[in-house]
Amino acid sequence: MASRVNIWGACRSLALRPRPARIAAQSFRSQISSTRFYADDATNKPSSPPSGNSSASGSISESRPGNANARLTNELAQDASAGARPSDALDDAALEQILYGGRPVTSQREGGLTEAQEEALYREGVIPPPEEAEAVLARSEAAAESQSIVSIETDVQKAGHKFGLPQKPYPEGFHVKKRYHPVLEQITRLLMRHGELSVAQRNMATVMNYLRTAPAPIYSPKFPLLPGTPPASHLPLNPVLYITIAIDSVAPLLKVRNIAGAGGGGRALELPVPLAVRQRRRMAFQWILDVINKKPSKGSGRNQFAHRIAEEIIAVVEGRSSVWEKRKLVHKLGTAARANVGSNKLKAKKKK
Amino acid sequence: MATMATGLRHAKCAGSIAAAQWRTAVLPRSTFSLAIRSITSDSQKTTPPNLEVEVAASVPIPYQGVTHARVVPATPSYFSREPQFNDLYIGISKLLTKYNHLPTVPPSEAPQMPWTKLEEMRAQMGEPIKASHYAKVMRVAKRLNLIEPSLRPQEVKVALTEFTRDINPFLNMPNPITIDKFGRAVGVGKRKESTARAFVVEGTGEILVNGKTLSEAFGRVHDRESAVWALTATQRLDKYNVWALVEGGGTTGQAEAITLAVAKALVAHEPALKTALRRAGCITRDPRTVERKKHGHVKARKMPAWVKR
Amino acid sequence: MASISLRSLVRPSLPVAPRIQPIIIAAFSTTSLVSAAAPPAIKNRKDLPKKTKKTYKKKQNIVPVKKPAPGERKAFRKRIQLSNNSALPVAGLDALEAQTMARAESSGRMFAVPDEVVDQLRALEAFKSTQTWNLFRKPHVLVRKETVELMGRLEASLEKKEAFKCYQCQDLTNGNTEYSPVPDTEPMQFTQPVYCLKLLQNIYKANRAVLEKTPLKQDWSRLSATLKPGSTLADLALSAKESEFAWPTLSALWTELTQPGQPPVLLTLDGLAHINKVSAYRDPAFNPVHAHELLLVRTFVDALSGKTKLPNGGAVIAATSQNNTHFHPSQELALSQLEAGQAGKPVPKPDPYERKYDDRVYDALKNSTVMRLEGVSKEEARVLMEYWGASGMLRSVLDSRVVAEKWALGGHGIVGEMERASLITMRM
Repeated sequence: MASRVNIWGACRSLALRPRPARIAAQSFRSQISSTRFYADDATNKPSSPPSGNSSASGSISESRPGNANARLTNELAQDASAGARPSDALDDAALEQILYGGRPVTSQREGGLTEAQEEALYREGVIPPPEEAEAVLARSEAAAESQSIVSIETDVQKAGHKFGLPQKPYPEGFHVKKRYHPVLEQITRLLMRHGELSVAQRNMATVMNYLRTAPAPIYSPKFPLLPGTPPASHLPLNPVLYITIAIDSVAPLLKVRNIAGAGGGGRALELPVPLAVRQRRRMAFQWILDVINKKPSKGSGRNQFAHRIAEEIIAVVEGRSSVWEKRKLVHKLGTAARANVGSNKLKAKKKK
Repeated sequence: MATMATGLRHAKCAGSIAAAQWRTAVLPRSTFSLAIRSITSDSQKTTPPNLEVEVAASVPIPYQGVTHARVVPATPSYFSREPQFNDLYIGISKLLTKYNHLPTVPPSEAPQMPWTKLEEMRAQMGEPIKASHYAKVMRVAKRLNLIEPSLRPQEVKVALTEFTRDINPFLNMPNPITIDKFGRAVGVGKRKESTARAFVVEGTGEILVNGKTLSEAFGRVHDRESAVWALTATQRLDKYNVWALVEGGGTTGQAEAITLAVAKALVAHEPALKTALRRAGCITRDPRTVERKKHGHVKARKMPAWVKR
Repeated sequence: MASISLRSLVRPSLPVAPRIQPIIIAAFSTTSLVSAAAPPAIKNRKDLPKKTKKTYKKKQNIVPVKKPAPGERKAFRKRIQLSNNSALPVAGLDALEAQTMARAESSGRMFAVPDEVVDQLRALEAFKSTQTWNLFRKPHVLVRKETVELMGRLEASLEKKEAFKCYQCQDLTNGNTEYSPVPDTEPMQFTQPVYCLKLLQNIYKANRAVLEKTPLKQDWSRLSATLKPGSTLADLALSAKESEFAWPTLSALWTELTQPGQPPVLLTLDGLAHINKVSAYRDPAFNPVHAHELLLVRTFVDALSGKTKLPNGGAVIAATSQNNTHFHPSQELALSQLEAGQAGKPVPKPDPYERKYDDRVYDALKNSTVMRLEGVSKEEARVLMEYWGASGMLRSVLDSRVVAEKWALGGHGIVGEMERASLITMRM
């Protein structure tokens, strides 16, 4: 509802009110710093010391998922300000180095991913080491439990239910409209045509069953997947993980935005912009769909579309897909345009 | 508000005879309103006896002892665009100034009031009330409603009744669903064009929709899951039997109408489940329906193809 | 001079150097030139030939793709896969043996199907592409209470079952297989030679071991020169190389099997309603053909009604379901009467206003026993789902609540629907 200040504001327009109008406090605005970067939302620390690749390549555990984008922008910005070298040094591999500390050979651990790790992958698109994932999960659970304090009181009374209340926090997929896995949900909507959701869901289910019946993929050393990917034999029986790993691995980390007129001489300024997890997944799956639509179907019947999707997903994991080339291209463009990150023209345009 | 202000300014001019008192009255803020009232009350009280005296004396000297050349209106708002409404506003603003110091409750805890709608207020007063004026008045009224109910003065309560409808729709509660002698609770649910009735009884988990099993009633597994979602989410699928009757609409609508019907009936059995069911999305009626077709459009939004001449 | 001038008029008799003359043959046409449509007359500017706008858009470079061979796409669609190497092998389940299914204690348990039985069943086309065999490491079956009951009944009727025949009968009557009339029959009867040939080959593949051991009782040398008095049933089945000889060979095989002293026979058929209707075939006078006029169907129906005796013991099983069927009043009446009679309830009477009763169908069915199959019970569903979980196909925790949920979602325990609800879905 209206705050007190607003109430008085309303009364102020009354003609007979002799009381002088109060001046609204507007000073707090000036406290916000004038320059804001994309990274400001994500990073807590003001700025890390500029040390190029050496600091970033320290360990995988450094690559906190939430910070990945921010650090990318920071690095790019620092790189640009340091002298704006041409795009020779920072190639695709170097970008990986910055983001993940390089892509090591996929983990050979026996157990595959822990549950916490899987959860982190679905949420943030990065596989953290198990201990860290546990910590994140524990934190989110604690937050959920703090909400459910009220429910305990009702539980004590033992009234109003016959067979016990459902356990809190409610499990994933508790809501009738959110019953499927979030990654699958996003992909299903992407492959839907003409608003036919049930067909899209059937296709998605067929894709998953195809992945389950197909033999385990053979990882390509040339196109490494997400760091920490479990061994290939773990994937077929967990099709959600299979799909997520394929899509997250091939997803671009950034896109190049063209800012009209900021390039000088009527040219557009190419600015690399980091992407969020959902954006990345969408981009990657659109690329996969593009490839699929160009492929001829092998057989007949209504499952052909699903089979082509599944085959393309396997191709991505095995490094045979042409989507990897697209990813490389975008990253190359992004590295070439990184000099524009802290551009003065950009600031001038913003001020206007 | 500008019109109100101008209206009052006119009132000032009209009462120019009492100009001296007016000026003095303006200076202290607290007595300011009293000054206006004194003008009006004076004119009301003094004029009738004077006339009577004149009639009684039947002296032909005209206008002797008459202080006003013509009848002074009861309120200075008389000359404004919306006199009654203006008075209402002045009165309620004064109340706010008077009781501004009283403690308030957060808006969520304030008593629910059936506020008069703009149209109703226009019809009641017969005045062309502007929507913006109405909004400003309602803001003040809602601020007054925030005063802690136990400490609320009678004056405020009376004033707020002016802004409320006679009928309180918030007291219209639906009849609670009862469990009959056979242990059945009947819930009704709707979605899109479909209407469903679900008879829920404790049992072993058999579900019949229009006398058919779930797999015969719904070809799509998603719809079958939707229909029994209230039971699966609360882990009671093996505890209750459901006999549902559903008609109208398509498969999705029918399935989700059953969701709502089953959830309502289940809440009748176990009221404590309502929170969980709300979190599961089973309690809320989905209000989305087909968008109407518009003239000039081929469908709801589709425009006819552009034709060159 | 006159003679010279006259000579100039006649055809020169001197031989002229041969020239290559073009042979002009007009295109054959029965219409005269006049009646051919003249090009439209140009009356105003509208009729002038219009300039076609040239499009300079580049054509999409179509990559030449190797087109699949005829039948390849259908084969891909109909492919039946019986194993999945990604699935976990399930240990601790017994193999299905000849006597297992009849034992009462094996009811409600899963059994592995042995490899040789899998081959036999595959030859008989018992697996369907809509079933989820491709998800599991090896075919396993659940022995239900009804299975035990049926097998008990089979045991009673025969000591050792040997030969199978399996018909997919929808193909028989929907007009998709070739047919040919049998001469000198009234009303005219028909055979389906191509289908018969395929059936013969399937019978041979599935029952090779038995057929090779069983000698012929009669002399069938008129069918094929290779059949000598000492040859076996396998030779008979193999003697039909072309479709013309398929039906005589098949009927010969059937005659042999119904001779006393031969192994008992099990005849099975799925989709009973399809062989009781008027088929999609037409006779030469274009009258519709009743399905019982098709000799292959006739053979089965005679066996089912008891007209053909099975002296060696044996069984005839026909199945129908609520899916892929149509309403047939006589069949419904016969089945409901039989069911009520078995249960000791009052027998329903025929509807006097129903015109579509078919006595041939009623007579064919009236001597049989009816067994109604519902969905599996919750205990059996639990066993089945435990097997799914052990194969790694079901990732959620398995408890009685989940079983009850899937049981209800699968229409009170219909296995195919339960598979749809729990295996072929986005929620796993």
